[in-house]
Amino acid sequence: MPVVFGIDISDEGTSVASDKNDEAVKFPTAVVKERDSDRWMIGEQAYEMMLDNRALKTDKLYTMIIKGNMATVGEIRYTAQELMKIFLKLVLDETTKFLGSGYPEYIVLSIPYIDDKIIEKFVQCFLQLGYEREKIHIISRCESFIFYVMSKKKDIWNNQVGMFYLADSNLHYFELRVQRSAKNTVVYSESKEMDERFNLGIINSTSGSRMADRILTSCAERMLGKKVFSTIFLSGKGFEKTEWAESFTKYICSRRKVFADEDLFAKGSCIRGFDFASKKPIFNFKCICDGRLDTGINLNLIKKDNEYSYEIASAGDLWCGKSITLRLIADGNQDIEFILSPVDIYKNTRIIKVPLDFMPKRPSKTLRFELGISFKDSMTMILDMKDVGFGDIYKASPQSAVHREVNLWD
Amino acid sequence: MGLILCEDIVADKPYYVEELDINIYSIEELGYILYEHPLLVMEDFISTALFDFIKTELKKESLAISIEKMYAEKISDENIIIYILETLDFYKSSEISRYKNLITNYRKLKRVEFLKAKADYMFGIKRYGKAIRFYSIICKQPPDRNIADKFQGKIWHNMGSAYANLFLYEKALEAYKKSFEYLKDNDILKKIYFLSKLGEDEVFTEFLDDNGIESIDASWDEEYNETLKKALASQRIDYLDSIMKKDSYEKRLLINELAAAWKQEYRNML
Repeated sequence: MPVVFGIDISDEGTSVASDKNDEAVKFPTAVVKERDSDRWMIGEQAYEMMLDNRALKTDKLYTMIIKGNMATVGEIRYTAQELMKIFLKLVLDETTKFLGSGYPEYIVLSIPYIDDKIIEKFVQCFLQLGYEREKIHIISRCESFIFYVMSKKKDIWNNQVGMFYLADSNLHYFELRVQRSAKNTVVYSESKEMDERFNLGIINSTSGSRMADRILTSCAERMLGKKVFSTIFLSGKGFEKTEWAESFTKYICSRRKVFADEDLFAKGSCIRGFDFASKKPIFNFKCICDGRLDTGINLNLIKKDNEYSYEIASAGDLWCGKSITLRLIADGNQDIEFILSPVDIYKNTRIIKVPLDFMPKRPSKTLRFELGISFKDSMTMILDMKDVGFGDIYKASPQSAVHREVNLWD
Repeated sequence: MGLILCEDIVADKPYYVEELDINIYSIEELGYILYEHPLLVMEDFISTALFDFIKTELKKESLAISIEKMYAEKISDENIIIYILETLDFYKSSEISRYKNLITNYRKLKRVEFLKAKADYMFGIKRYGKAIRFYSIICKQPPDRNIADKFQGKIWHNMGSAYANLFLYEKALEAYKKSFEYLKDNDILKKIYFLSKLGEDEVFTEFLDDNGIESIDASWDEEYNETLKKALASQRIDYLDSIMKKDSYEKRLLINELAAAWKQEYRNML
């Protein structure tokens, strides 16, 4: 079996899970540089040096990389990506040292939200560290939640599964449901950042913990309502201990199983990593969550006398970085028809027509155009169409081009 | 009706089609030329150079091998073309059937009729120089009782029109005169009259005398003047006038540009 690391990263901390250890190895998402030296450090030793004023700390690396900020450390300016690369290298070094394992062959990194640019930045960090692109996967926390849950026995996810994630100053609710049909199994997961938030420091006082408990209970009542849940998971630093949240735990424990796992996202990522590393998929379901399309997209094309369906994207595909370019010839049609097939059986298949009125007037069979398809997010398909001419017979007209955004959702 | 997915391959070294003075870069373009220009491709289009192009540039090795074999077995060019069209995903079977019928009809024509159809086709796509070459071949055929005067007259008439489109007025005039000898058609006489007005009027007078024609239609002068007026009011003349009003630097640039376009247009006609 290859060495696989599942890493979860956010400003609150970074956890690394592997099959070598039950618990994830944890680090603050920060790097420390020794004064008057090129030595970078992470972890406890780094913090000790910083407290002794022998080193400089740069934290909130995740936010930095999202915003594309720069930081000056010891009179040298670093990009967020450079600092992230240093941090990730040290994370891998320290973890392998701690576990006594080799360096991972596959890495799956889970991040709070999927964004095209962030994914590329992380991928670049790993590529610069010598990893192969195919063995690096960046997934959403929703996806790692799915794989964590689906690796458990069926009674855990037979009905809906909820999860509360409580970190330093934010509270997230995740929900998962499994839809089974004769054709396939689809697992949906979505997350929501709760409006209610409190600093974890307040749970150290009696009155503060009472208030925090009330907030959580009210959230749970609102989110769980009358739905049927098999299991509720608790994760995040806030649930390291649950004694302070007496009424919340009482509410969520009624008629369902409740588990707490601080390393849920890192472990879910690691499970996902083994799925990627396996020659045959370990799990047999479509995964619909942040970062993945919930709608299949097809085009009807013709070949000689026959019409056939050409798949642009399948439900469950990653929308991030997905880019398709086709050269098509419009043989008498006024528009191009996309067939959108939501994976949700309760939603109808839709046809979206995009007019080809940007094309110049030319005889049939010579209206050749290029169709570029990419995605802005899971619900927005971007179309870039341009006339590419028909060789010397009809030259391309550069002004004949169109950019369209197509909403994939009703 | 529908959308056709194109093949990804675009030739680095295109295939030059001399009759049309164009390069072919893709299998779709090749299919289109074969289908849309049957008269151009029925003879002398299938060649080893085309097989090489299909094999090395369009990366269609099996198709190239098949047609090369057909060629070696002396299978007719039109059957090879039909085979290529059937192999592509570009045309429906109904379109191929239509094409086959068209080819069969062309093959039923006498040799001179086929050459005329080819020449007329060249004329239709404004390849006047090539049209003249085919009309000349027909005219050089030994006298044949089966070729009617009317047919010969039409050949000379079309050749005259092709010369006129190339601004070779003297040659056009000669061809129209020959045509008149066969057809004695008033419309041809009118064309001779118009052409003579562009050159020397005496030529026409001599021609009338030689053919014993006493008078011509009085409305022709009016028609000639009207046509001239229309030509002078055309967009091309307006554009030329607008160029002449520009400052000297811009004028020179635009004139050069226009001259280059006209030269190219003329070269394409040859």
